[in-house]
Amino acid sequence: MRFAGLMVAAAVVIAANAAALLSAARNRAGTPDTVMELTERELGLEYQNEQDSGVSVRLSYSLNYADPTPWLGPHGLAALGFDTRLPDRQLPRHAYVAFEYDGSAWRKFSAGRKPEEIAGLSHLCPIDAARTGAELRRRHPDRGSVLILPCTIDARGYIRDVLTGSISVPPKFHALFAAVRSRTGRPRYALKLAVGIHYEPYVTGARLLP
Amino acid sequence: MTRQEAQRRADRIRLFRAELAELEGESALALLPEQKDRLERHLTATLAHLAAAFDVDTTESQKQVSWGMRIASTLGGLALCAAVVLAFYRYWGVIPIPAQVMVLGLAPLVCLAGVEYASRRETTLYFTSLIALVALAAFVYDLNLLGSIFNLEPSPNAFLAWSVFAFAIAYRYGLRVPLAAGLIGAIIFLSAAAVSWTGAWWEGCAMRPEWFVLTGAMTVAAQFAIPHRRFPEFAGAYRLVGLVALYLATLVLSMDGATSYLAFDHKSVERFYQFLGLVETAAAMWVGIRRGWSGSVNLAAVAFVVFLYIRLASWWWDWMPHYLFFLIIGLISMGLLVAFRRVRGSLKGALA
Repeated sequence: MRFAGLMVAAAVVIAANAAALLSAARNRAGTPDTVMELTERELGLEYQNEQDSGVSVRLSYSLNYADPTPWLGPHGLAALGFDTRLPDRQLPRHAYVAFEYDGSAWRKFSAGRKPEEIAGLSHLCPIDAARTGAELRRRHPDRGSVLILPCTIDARGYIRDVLTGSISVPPKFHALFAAVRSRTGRPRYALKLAVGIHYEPYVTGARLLP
Repeated sequence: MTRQEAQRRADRIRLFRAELAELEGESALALLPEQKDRLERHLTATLAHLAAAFDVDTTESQKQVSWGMRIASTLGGLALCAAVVLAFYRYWGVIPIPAQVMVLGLAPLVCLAGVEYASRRETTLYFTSLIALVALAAFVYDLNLLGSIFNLEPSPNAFLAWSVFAFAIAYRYGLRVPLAAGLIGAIIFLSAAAVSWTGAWWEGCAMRPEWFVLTGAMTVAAQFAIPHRRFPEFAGAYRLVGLVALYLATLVLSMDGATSYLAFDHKSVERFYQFLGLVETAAAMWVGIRRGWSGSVNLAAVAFVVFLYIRLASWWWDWMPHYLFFLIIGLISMGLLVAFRRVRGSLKGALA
């Protein structure tokens, strides 16, 4: 067929865009898994040069890997599919991680530290992980204080990456960040973060903090 | 007849004319005047037909200008890609999301229309090639940015989409750069899918180069499975892309045994892959010489030397005086020259 190549190319573009948009729409459909207000400590501004008019924030968390009672023990790692006998030979795996906001995990992390040490640190702390978000939500039903996000974890329990950790801020909130840049002190702003049914986050609100 | 075949015929006619003049000057051949006239008329008519039908280069000067045009086309394509990407970065923050989505989705389709339009207006395909590069960049950027705007989890399926798009353009217009891009996308997708199948996160394929050894070899083998009747030069692209993937992956494994699946100590793994690298490149040179694949032979020769020098450096660099190390490298290079000259001589003898 004479135009087969052209039609295939166009079809791939249309199909790929449609798939991405459908996925985003399904994630945001219905009631979000979580809606939580987080501050600049948890959602810090990513570096932006003058050639880039987009704004994005990066989710950060606090975790003490030297803690003798690790956040994810051998049982948790085994449940993710790791063979804990060979931690060095295994590639990171996809997992959903539950981050608790301003809860007992943060109090444990900040205990014994000076105020100036913890002043700018995120109050989000990972507390659990599972293969599916649904399973994790069943274990941690408090949607007001526990955020579930997709991550990659290695066989030693290190969180290698929060897969949706770089969060784009919609253009309608960009004006706020122009005001933020002239302020000193932290945290300067708070963002309302919703996490959809596919555990992909999106910003739904923004305000300056006094 | 394809454009490449027409160009080869035009080159042969040009060389034939030059050699004929040489033979006449040496009195080795003397054509009768009517034979010479008839031959000259035939050659002129053939060249005119080839130039009209395929826009081939009929003189050496034209060939040099064409090379310049190819370079300009590639550089121009890359510059336009950068312009499109940077322009979007500059303004995306001030346009609403629906407009962003529309611009991103339409950009590759508009470029595709531009590629089709350009291909109908020219036979040399310089502008077609340039716009095809921009179309590819627009589609890559499209999916990347949609992922960023909606904070989607990264997926290897994007590489499949990019690869299919690149293949469709390559096979529609006979363009090798999109073909190479499609092959690279396919290699990454297959390696990522294989790692996902093992239960690990797909980006881990970068930490296990053995998948690229396998997919690189598969790409080289694919040239035999796919009959390239319409574009015979595509087989060379499959070979080169596959071999580059194979050699790079083997090189990484030869330098860092910790990235291997093999359950041996790292040093043994590195030695194994250093040896394998030398075997791969030597075998590729041998096959390439026998089949007349000059590109593959050159690539294999460069890779062979790189593997050899890395092996020698890992043996000697730490304890040998450095001037002595480089002296030995120089002597080995001369030895390789002597060896290649003997191979070249034996090939000349085979022809005789």
